[in-house]
Amino acid sequence: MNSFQDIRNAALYEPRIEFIKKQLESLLRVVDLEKGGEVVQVDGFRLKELKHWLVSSRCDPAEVFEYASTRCDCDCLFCYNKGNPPSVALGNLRRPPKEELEEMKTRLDYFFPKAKQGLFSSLGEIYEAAMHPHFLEVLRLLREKTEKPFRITTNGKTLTEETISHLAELKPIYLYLSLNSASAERRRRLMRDRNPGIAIDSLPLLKEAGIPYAVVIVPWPVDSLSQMLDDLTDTIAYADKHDCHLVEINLPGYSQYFSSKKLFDLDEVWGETVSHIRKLRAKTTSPIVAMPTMYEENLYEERKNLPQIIGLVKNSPAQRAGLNKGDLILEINGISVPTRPQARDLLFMLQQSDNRQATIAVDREGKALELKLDLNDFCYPYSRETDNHLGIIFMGTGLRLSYLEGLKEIVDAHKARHVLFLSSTLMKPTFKQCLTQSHLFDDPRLRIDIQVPRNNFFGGNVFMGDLLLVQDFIDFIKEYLEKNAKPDLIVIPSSPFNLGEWGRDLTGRVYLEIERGVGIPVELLQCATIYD
Amino acid sequence: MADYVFRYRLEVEDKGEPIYHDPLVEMIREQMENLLNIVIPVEGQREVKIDGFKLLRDRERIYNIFAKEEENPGDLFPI
Ligand code: SF4
Repeated sequence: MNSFQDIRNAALYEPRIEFIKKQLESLLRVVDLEKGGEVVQVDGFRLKELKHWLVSSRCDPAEVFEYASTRCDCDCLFCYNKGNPPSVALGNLRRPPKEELEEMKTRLDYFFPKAKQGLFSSLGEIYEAAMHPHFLEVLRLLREKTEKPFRITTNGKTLTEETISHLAELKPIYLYLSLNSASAERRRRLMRDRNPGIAIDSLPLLKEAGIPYAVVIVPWPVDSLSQMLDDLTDTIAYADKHDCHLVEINLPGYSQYFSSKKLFDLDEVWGETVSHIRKLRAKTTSPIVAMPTMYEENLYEERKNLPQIIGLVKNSPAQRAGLNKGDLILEINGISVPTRPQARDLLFMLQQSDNRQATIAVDREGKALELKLDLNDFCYPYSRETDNHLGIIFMGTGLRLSYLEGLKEIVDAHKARHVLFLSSTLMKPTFKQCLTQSHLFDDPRLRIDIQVPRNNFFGGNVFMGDLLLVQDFIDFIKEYLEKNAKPDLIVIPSSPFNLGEWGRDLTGRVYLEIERGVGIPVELLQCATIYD
Repeated sequence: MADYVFRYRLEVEDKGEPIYHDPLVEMIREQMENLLNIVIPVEGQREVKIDGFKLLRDRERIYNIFAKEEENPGDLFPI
C-alpha cells in the first residue's frame, strides 16, 4: 500500500479533502463504525473515484512533472526551503521515487489538455525535479499528451551532454538554470555543488542543442558586497557570451526561520545590486531582470506601469526590427497602449496569432518612431513556442487598470465610504498612482486608506504582499483600529490567497477568518499573483 | 493499470480543547465551521453571513460556530 498524502498540501488546493477528514474525525468522536456487528477501527480514508476529483486546469506540463521535485542534490546557502515556517501548508512526503512515479503516471492519466482538466494539485515544497530517477520517463510520457513547452527549473547538476541530448528530443523546452555563479569555486561555495563544472559547461551545450534557457542568479552576499557584484558581472558576461535567453536576478531575502539574526541589510544589498544591474544592462546584449521587478521601478521610475523596454531577447523579431532598450512603446498595430499590462497583452496575442507582421510605435528619447516587425525573422535563443512578447522584456507585469474597476464594484456594492485597502510595500506606489489617475473614485465622500501590513509570520526581511497570512492581516487590522476610525470595508488583493482557488493562505487558513476575527466586512479584490 | 491511491490519515483523538463540552453540540458546531470554510450560504441570490445556530428542540439557546479569542474555549454554555 502506498503512503498517506500530506493533508496540508490538499488543504491548500482541494480543501474539500480536508473538509472530509475533519467531518469524519468529528463524527468518529461520537460514533464507532461497525462491520458484521464488530467495531471497526479506522485510521484513514481514500478517494474513491479520481474522476470525481478533476478540476479545471491550464494543463501546464509542470502540473505533472513538479511532483518529481521532492529532493535536491545541492545545498544552497540561500535555499528558500530552509526558511519555510513549520506551519506552512507545504508538506514533503519523502516517498520512494517509484511511488512518486506511480502518482505522476496517475496524474498523467487524468491530464486532459483538450478539456482543460486535471487532478487537483497537492504539491509540497519544490526542490530539484531533474535529479529524480524517473524524470525523463515522465517528460516522455507527458510529451505524448501535450505539445506545450516544458518549463523546467534546475540547478544544472544533471545537465551533461547526454541529458541535454535527451531533453532536446522533447522540445519545446525552456530551462531556468540556477547557475548562481559562473565561477566553479563560488558555485561550489554557494550551492555546495561538488561538481560545478557540469552546470557551468552546460550553457554552450544547451545552445548547441537549441534549448533556450534563462540564467538564474541569487546574488547572496556570502563575502563582501563588492565581491558579490564582481561575480555577478562575470556570471552575466558568461551567460551573455553563450546566448542565454534571459538573465533573471532573484534579489535575496530570508525569513526568521531561515535566520533569526540579521544576515545583511536588505536595502543596501538590493539597492546596490539593482544599481549595478542597470549599469550592466548597458553593456550586455541579453536582457536582465531583477526580481521582484517593482523594487527597481519604485526606486528609479517616477511614472510607474509604463510599457518601457528594458531588454530584448537576442535574435527576436523585436530585436531584429531595431527596437532598443529604453524605448517607450506608444502603439502596437495602431492601438494605443498606455500601460504595461495592455502592451504585454497585445504582444502576447500577436505572439500566439498567425500574424506575420506587426508595427510598433515608440518614443525614443523624445522622438516618435515606427518600426515594422517581421514575426518570421528570428532564431535562437528566441522561439515562437517559448517566448511570450516577441522578445520584448519589460520591468515586470505591472498593474492592470481593470483591478480598479473591480475595486469600484466592491466599494459600490457595500456602499462604503471609508475603505481600508491593504497593499504591499512593492505595489503601493503603483496602486496609488493608478488610483490618483483614475476618475472612478472621484466621490469626495469616499476615503480609501492604503496601508501595508507587516509580514510577521515569515519575519526576517520578507516583505512581499503575496506572502502575507490571515494572521498578519488580523494583527495589522487590530492595530490599525486602535489608532484609526473603524472603516466600513476592508479590501485585500486576492494574490496572497491565489495558490488554489479556495481563498487559502499559505498555512491553509481561509481568508473569511479575517472578517470573523475583526468584525468588519472583508472582500478580496481578484487580481493575479505577480511572479516577477 | 490501477490508479495511484490517494490516502489520508484520520486523527480522531488529536483534537484541541473543544468550544462546547457537550460532544453532540460540539459535533454540530465543528461540522458547521468546517462547512463554512468551504461554502458561502445564500438566501435567494444574496450571500448570508452566519456565525451561530440553534437546535430545533431549543430555540432559546444560540451556539457560536467560531471560537472567539476573548472567550475561554470550553466555557461557552458549559453543560
Ligand atoms: S538548487 Fe534549489 S532546491 Fe536545491 S538547495 Fe538550491 S535553492 Fe534549494
